[in-house]
Amino acid sequence: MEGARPFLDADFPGYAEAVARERLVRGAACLGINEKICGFEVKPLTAFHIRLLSLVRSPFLINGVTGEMLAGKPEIISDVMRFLWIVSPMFKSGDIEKKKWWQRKTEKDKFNSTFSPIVKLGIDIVCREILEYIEEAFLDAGEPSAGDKSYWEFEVEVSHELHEAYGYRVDFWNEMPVEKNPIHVPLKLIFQLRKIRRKWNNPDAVLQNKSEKIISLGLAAMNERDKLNGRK
Amino acid sequence: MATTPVILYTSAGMPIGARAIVTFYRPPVTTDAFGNSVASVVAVGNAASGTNLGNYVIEDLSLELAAKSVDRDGTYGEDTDSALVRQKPKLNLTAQMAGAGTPTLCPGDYVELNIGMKASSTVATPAAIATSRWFLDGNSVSANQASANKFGLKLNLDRQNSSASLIEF
Repeated sequence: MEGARPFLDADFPGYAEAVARERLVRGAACLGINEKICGFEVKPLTAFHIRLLSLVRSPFLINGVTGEMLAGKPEIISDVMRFLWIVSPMFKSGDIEKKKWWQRKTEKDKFNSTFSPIVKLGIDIVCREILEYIEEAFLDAGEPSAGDKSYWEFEVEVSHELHEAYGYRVDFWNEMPVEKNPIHVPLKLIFQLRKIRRKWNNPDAVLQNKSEKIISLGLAAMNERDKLNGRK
Repeated sequence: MATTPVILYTSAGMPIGARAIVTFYRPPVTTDAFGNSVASVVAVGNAASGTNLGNYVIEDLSLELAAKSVDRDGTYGEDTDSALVRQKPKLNLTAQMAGAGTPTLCPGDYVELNIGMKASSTVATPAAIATSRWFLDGNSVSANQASANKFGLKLNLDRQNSSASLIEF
C-alpha cells in the first residue's frame, strides 16, 4: 500500500485550463462591464433576463441543448434576435417604443442595425456563443436537484437573499432604480456570493467547481491504469 | 526574549488548499452471531488485506487532537481533582471520487496518508512523517453534490496500524 500521490496536471488533462477559465469568468464579473456575444454587446445575465426569456419560451434555456441542435430549429433567427434584444443594453420593456419627431432612431432601430452583422455569421456559431454566455452565468450555480418542489420563484429567492445578506430592498411593485433592484444583479455575482455564504455559515460545507468533473474523469482513467498494472 | 512555540502539528505534508491522490481500501467484513456486519478496522494483522476501492482526490484537510476532561470526585462527590485523557485524533477532509463504477465510501473504509502529528518541538517534515492509517466513521453527501462526486469525510486514526512515532500526542 502507498500513501498519498501528488496531484499532477498531467493526470487530469484540461483541468488547469478549466480552472483558469473559471477564475477569469468569476473575476471579470466583478468589473461591472458588459459582455460580448459574437461581437454584440450584451449585459451580464440576470434573474430579470431569465424571467423574460422564459416568458418568451427562449429555446436557449432548455437544459442540455447544443448549438448544433438549435441551428437546425425553424425560426432560430428570430429566437436569436429575441434573446439578444432582451439581454442587450438597449432593451426597453413595455410597449413598443414610438419614434418621437426629434428622434432619428429608436433603441429598437439601433438594435436592429447592430444585429444585422450577426446574421452573416454561421447560426451554429451564434447559438454556441449564446449557450456559452448562459453556461458562464450559471458557472457557480451548482447542479439543479431534480424533483425539488418549488414554493417560490428564482427572482424572489434572489431578492430575498440579497435583502437578508446585503440590505437590498425587496420591491417589485414600485419603480426602483435598476442598480438597486436585486433582480438586476448579475447571476455570476449572486452565485459566487451564495457559495461564500454557504462556506461561512458551515465551514464543513462541501463546495464544488464545474471544472472538477474533469477530475472525476481523470480518476476513472487512473483507476483503469492501476487495475492494468495490478496495483493493490 | 521570544521563545519558539511548540508545534504540535505541521501541515507541510499536506498543506491546506493542496490536493493529493489517495487510495481507499475496504477492510474484510466479518459477521457476528447476530448477523451484524463488523468491519475489522483495527484487527491485528489486517494491515494489507483490504480491497482496493480506487483513487480519490483529497483536499481541505484538518486535523483535530482531542482530549477529554474526567472528573475525579471525592467520597462525597465533592470536586477534588480531574484528569485529562487522550481521545482519538480525527481528520476531516473532502474527497472526490471518479464517476460511475466507483464505490461510495462507507464507515470502516480506510486510507493511508503521510500525515501525522508530533508532540516534539521539532517541525515534522513530510519525509519524517511515516504512514498513518485513518478509517472512515462518517460520510456526508447531499443529493446535489452527487454529480461532482465530492464528499465530506470524517476519519479516525487507526493506532494499531499506524507508525508509533505519529502518536506521541
